[in-house]
Amino acid sequence: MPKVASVFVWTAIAILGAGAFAVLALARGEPVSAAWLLTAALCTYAVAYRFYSRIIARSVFALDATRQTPAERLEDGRDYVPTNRWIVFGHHFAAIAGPGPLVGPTLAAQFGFLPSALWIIVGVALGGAVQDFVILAASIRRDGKSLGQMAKDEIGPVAGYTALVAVLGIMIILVAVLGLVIVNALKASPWGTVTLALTIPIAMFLGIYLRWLRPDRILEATAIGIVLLVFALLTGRWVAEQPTLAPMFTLSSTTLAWWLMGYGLAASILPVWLLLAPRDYLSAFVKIGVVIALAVGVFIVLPPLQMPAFTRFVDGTGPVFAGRVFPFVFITIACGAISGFHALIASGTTPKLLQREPDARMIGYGSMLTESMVAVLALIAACALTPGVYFAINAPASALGTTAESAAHAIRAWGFSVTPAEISTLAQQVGERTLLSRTGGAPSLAVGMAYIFTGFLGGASSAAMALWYHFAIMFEALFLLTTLDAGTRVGRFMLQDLLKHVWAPLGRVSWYPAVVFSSALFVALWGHFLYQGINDPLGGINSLWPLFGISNQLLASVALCVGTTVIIKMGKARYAPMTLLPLAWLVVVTGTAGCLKIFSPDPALGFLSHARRMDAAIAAGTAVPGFASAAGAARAAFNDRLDAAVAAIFLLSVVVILWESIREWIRVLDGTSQRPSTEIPYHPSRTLPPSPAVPSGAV
Amino acid sequence: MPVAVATPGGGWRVRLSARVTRVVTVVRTIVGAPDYERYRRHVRACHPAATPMTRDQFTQERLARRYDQPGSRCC
Repeated sequence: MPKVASVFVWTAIAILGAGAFAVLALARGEPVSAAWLLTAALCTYAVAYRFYSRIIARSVFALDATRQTPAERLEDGRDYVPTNRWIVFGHHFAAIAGPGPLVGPTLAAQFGFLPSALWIIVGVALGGAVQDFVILAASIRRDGKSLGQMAKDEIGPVAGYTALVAVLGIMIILVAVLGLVIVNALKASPWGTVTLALTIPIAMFLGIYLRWLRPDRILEATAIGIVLLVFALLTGRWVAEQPTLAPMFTLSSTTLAWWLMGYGLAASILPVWLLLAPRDYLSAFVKIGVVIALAVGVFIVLPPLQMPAFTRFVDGTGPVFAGRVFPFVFITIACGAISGFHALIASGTTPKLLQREPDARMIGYGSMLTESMVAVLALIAACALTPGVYFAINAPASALGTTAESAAHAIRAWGFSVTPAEISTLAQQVGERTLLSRTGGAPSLAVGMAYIFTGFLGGASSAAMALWYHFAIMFEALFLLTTLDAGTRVGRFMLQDLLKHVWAPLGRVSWYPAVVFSSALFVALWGHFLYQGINDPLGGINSLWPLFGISNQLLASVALCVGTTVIIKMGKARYAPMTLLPLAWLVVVTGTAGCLKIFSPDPALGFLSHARRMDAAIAAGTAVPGFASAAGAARAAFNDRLDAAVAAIFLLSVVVILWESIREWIRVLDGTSQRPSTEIPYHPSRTLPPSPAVPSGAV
Repeated sequence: MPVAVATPGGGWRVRLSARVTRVVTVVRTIVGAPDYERYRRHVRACHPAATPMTRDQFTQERLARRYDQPGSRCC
């Protein structure tokens, strides 16, 4: 493109984006069309990709197409395989896309759409995408080393071990909170429960099919699996309509939690080919398919955002979770803006696939922008609901009571209009007994998706609405369960790796007693948090989701510390602010949120003050609201203190990593560092660019 | 490297089958499925003296590797 035209086009994109932001920010009273939010997001992504990521690619790393990548140097036909960049992009996106960007924005919508939208869009451009890109580039220059290994090599062993503990901690909290979201989506819902339960035998059938009947025919097996999923969906509806069968599958939270723990244990012990692998393939297709369908649906329907730009709950009195908009919007959004977990993937399978160094820009930075777009779509789906309906689904029973009348009363007191009839009609429409207090984000996202799907595929009848709702629930639960089972297995391996220092045989991954023991231990760890979340009268999301957000951002801090160290060791200290800026922000946000969760005098927010209130009530012999017995309240007080300890451990880890990193940065700048950069020196690529016309990974 | 190359005189059947093979490989790589053919080609080309794993061994090895480390999936 001629230079003048380029300047003109990019100026126009920037003005369009800024204009869209202005429309969003100035919207008062009337619902704004989602088109403005989409425009603001897409223009920002385009400008950030074109200009900001180019600085990282050219000036910071000087990515060089003539330089050998690990895939070329270490090609082994297994892990290290030079692959076409579009395929690696797809692979990387499929790996980073998880339930986080769907759930986080749905919960954060309680502040109104604007705070969440701003953080998702700005946070990804300056933080999340930078982190993913820098770690990917750093790992490519180090033979595809993992984040933990890079932390150890570049910063020091203390940072390395802290990173290891952080990853284990985040796995426990992550699996627990995902379990809680599943439980809340399925409780008292025979349709959803039966559908999700059927996905397990379906996966096992596919596992057997792939191993014994038609080995390695993954696409064929997945196609069969998708047909069977539709069958599972219809079976769920049939069961829910049977007066004898429906009560058998109308399960309480507690029963569901026990089933989930049993399932996690089985997934960790059974051979991967039987359960995990086929589920994963199925889930990957459903995930990509639904994300595309949601994008198409939102772009066609362009629903008006019923939620105001800001709600009164920015002051911290929100029913979905406690805490003011700062810092909690940043903690709650989690993966859609910045996710430490991505750094594990950007230093896991992806760096071993890149054919040419410059591909890292599209794969690292570009995939994360796409993930952020998914978060924007989830936010739109949540905000397309009227605030009254949104709060009826997402506020806990302690705020709403248990009837449509009490809920409508409470919601009207917050200043949103909703009638008891609206609440119960909606539940009937989607084929559920009740939608009240179905916290965790999944049900409200499913209602939002059902609206959008019926909007563009037609069929506004309540039968279609119910089918779409349960389709969305199935998709979310399938997706969540696939992270839960694989997470449990990974957690088991990490635990075995630690336990071998206690007693060597516990580390043997093929010794059955060690496998069962460490699996059970890991399930018990997350199971405890899940169980606590279910019995929490404030709604477990209130305690667990912020812990998850804090742990995820702790990992992001580790990644940004590693990134900064790598940049400084390359002699590019003047570009260090690109990672230091998001790092400083994360430290402030995580530190404030962590301290508030531990020490806030508001019992809805602070773990310790809540525990003290329990203690006081028990000591005074008065009944504690939400608890049948003093023993239950005492357990809750214990769990509060445990949560406070977990938050404290996360905060301490941030401090340790930061301290270690700053010391190393000073040593590098002084010239006294004993740790030279582990970057692999330049070797010319054998396949010199321009890249072959036939993408080598595609054939 | 190519599995099925459409030769100029190959006719539409060959071209179609080459295209299908290509799409299948792309989709399989995206979902992270093991690629045995690619592995065998690599062993043949680079380590002619070595005996490659059987398809079943390879699949097992790949799956075990994928599910024992945190770097392959996300929240």
